[in-house]
Parts: sequence; C-alpha cells; structure tokens
Amino acid sequence: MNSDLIHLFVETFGIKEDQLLPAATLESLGLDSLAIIEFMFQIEDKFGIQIPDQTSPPRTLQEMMQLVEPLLPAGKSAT
Amino acid sequence: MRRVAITGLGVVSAIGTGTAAFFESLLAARSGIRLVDMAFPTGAESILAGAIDFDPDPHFSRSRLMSMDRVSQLALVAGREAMAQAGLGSPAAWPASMAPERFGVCMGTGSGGAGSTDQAYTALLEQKAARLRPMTVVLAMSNAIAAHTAIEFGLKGPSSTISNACASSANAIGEAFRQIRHGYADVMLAGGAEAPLNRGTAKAWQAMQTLATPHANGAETSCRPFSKDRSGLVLAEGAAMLVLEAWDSAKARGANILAELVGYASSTDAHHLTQPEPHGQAQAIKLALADAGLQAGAIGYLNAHGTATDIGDVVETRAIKLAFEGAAAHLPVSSSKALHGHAMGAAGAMEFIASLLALRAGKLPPTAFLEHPDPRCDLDYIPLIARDCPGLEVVMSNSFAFGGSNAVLIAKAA
Repeated sequence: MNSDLIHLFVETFGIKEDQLLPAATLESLGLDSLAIIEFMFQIEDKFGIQIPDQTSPPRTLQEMMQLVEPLLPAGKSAT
Repeated sequence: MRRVAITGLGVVSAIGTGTAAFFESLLAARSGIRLVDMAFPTGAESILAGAIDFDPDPHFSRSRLMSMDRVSQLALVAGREAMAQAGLGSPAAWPASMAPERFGVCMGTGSGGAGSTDQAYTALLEQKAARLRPMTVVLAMSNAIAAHTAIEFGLKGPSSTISNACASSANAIGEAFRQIRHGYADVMLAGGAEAPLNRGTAKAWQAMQTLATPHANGAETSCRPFSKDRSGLVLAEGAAMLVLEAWDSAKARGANILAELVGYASSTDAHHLTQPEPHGQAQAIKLALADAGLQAGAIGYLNAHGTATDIGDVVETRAIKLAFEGAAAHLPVSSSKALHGHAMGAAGAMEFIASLLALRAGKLPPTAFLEHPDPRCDLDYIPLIARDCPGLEVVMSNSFAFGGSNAVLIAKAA
C-alpha cells in the first residue's frame, strides 16, 4: 500500500499503522460514509488529484488504495 | 397532566466540566473569563471570553470529529454526564419499560455550528478555495446538536431545536417538559450548547457594542452584572443538559430524582430587536408561577438573566419588581454570568442547572464582583460571597433574549 496514503490515514484518523490491513473494512476502522467522503476530499487536496465520482464508495482499505493509487503520479509524494 | 422529574444534569463551562466542578467554582466565585486572542486577519486583538480548555480527542474518534462542530462536541460531553447521572448512559441500563420511541431530545442553540460556517467562509473568501469540505452543511446546521445526541444515545422520540437566541435552552427545557407533561414522551434529554468563539461571531458581537472591556482589577473580573462599573456582557461557550422524566416512571425505576420541574412559561416583548421590555419579562415570570401553582413568595432563589449590560440589568430588576411585587424585596437573586460569561443558547440550561445545584445544596451562588451596586438595581443580588440557604424549596431561572423572547423555569425540591 502507498506509504503516503497510509501516512495520511494515520495522521487524519489517529489509527495505528499496524491496524491498517488491506482487507480491513473502513467501517471497522470507525469511518462512516460521511468520513469516507471527507477523507477522499482530503486525498484530492493533498495530492492534487481528482478521484472520479463513485457509484459506491470504497468498502475496504484495499479498495480505497486501488481507487487512488493509479491516480498518483509515480514518485509523487504528499505536498 | 403528568409530573416531571429531573434525574440527570451535565455541564461543560468556562468554570468547569461536570456539575461538581461547575458548582464549586460558582460558590467560590472563581471566574473562567479571560482575554482570548482571536487571530483576526487585521492583527492581534483579544476579546474577553468564557473560553473552555477543551480537547475533543479523549472524547471522540477522529473520524467522528470530522462531522462534529465544537458546539456538538460540548453538547455530547454534557449529555453524557446527564445521561450517566440518570443511570441511562447505555441503553443496556435502561429498564425494559423505557422505549427509545418515547425518549426524545429538545435542544437550544443560538447559532449552532457557527465556527464551521466561519471556517467555510475563511476557506472560500480568504484562502480562495474552489470547494468546501463535504461536511460543511452537517457541521453547521443548528439541529446537529439534537441529531448527535439522538444518535449517541439511540433516542427515537420527538426531536426539536429551538433557536431563541439567549433564551434558547430555557425554552428547550420548557418545551421538553411539556412533551412529558402532556404525554408525547416519557423521557427527554433537554438543554443547549453554544460555541461562539470564532472570528465572525466575535466581530459581529463586537459591532453590537455590548461586549465588556477589561476591568482594571483583572480581565477575569470584567463581567459585572448589576454593578455601577459594568461595561457589558462577555461571550462564552458551553453546554448544559438535563434528563427529564415522567415522575411516576422515574419513581418506578428507582431513579434518583434530583428535583421536580414544576413551572415554565414563555412570552414575547414584541417591542424591539435588542431592547428588553419589563412587562414582557414580568409576564413570563408571572405565567411560570401560575403554571407551577405557586405564589411569588414561594421562590427562595432566582438565577437572573443578568448579562451585565446597562439596559438589561435595569429592565430585569424592574421586571422582577413588577412580577414579585412586595416579595421582591426579600428575594435572593444572583447572576452567575459574572463567572461563566454569557453562554448564549446554552445560558438558560446552564443557569437552570446552577439553580438546581443551589436547591440541592442549600447554598446560593453569589453575583461576583458586585462591589459597587448600580443604585437602579436595588434587589438582594447576593453580592460577592455565596450564601447558605437551608430549607430552600423552590428556585427560578430567568432567560431573556434578543428578539424579545422570554423564558422562565421553576423547580422544586424533590
């Protein structure tokens, strides 16, 4: 998983990095649907990317990574 | 009509979090008012405020905080205390007879999540943001306080939010009282919250020219109700919550009944947006007494609205005389705003709790810093020092608001 994204997740939600397993559902990490949308906005602002609108928001950490990672330019780190 | 018991109290204020710390500060005349740097864009400028050293992190997860303005955070901390005291903190502790559909919320706030609105405008206009946080609407909406408390405790009964400026939470308690009295609910969590210490709200209040200026004896002594050397009100943040229950069911579940809520009335001056009017205020006091079936002489302590504005203090003194007539001369009255400041939409609930704690302890909080009484304010304002009042049976709390809304609550020893 992208270390910048993990770092942003830890920084935003105060969850320990060892809890961030790819299969973990975002719900089990304490994120409701509103927090997921808010976090997606934060990712967009932090990395200067635009995540396409989703018909259904990501359910797991892995799904979130799969959605976001391809949009990050190679080697680009958080600003 | 059903009788209504008060079984839980909770408060977060500039003079303490928790009713014990709050009341201890009131009796010791310990002020929570100080100069706060508001970081206005024009440069360093402090305002007097009843600000709370409050760290939300120990209370809420970060993901939850994303959708909670400070006003809702304060509200929930006060709500948790009230619910825990009532023995209802977790639905598992509720008696089988207590249905979530019969447990409602009624909250008061002047400006809801005003801090979030302020942040949104800052982002939009100052930082030139192209978009706002997705949570902006739910952070700022005035009924967020009611929504968060209902979600936290699983309360599915009637829900409403009253915004009557500085009388908001007194009205909220009164309307919740009526919900139970008239059988629409069995239990209500009622109160209010306010978090006005943001740049926009503070500047707006500054422009009203009603804010106090620092007193020579120290910033903490700057709110001086009924005093000749008063200079205005002090903005404050805070929250205060009460659990109200139908008397018979509270008894049946063996709840610890703290007091009985016996009277409530509201009235409107219909006179001026900001100038209070004594007859409208007196009408609310008289109607609350009639609602409680009590004579004026029965009231043993009155927590005044007492904001420390010149017109407010003088008009309230007149209103008390109009309503209490001959009994006014013997009525102990105090304003606790000298210590916790004016918590706006939370003030009514906070000061009703001050009255209830006085009732239970038989001790009356003083009007702090009342060294030089205004000759036009000539009632017994319990100057400077708390007073023992054994055998105290009935207390009243006044709340009057911009817009001319008046609300009065009366409670009796259980």
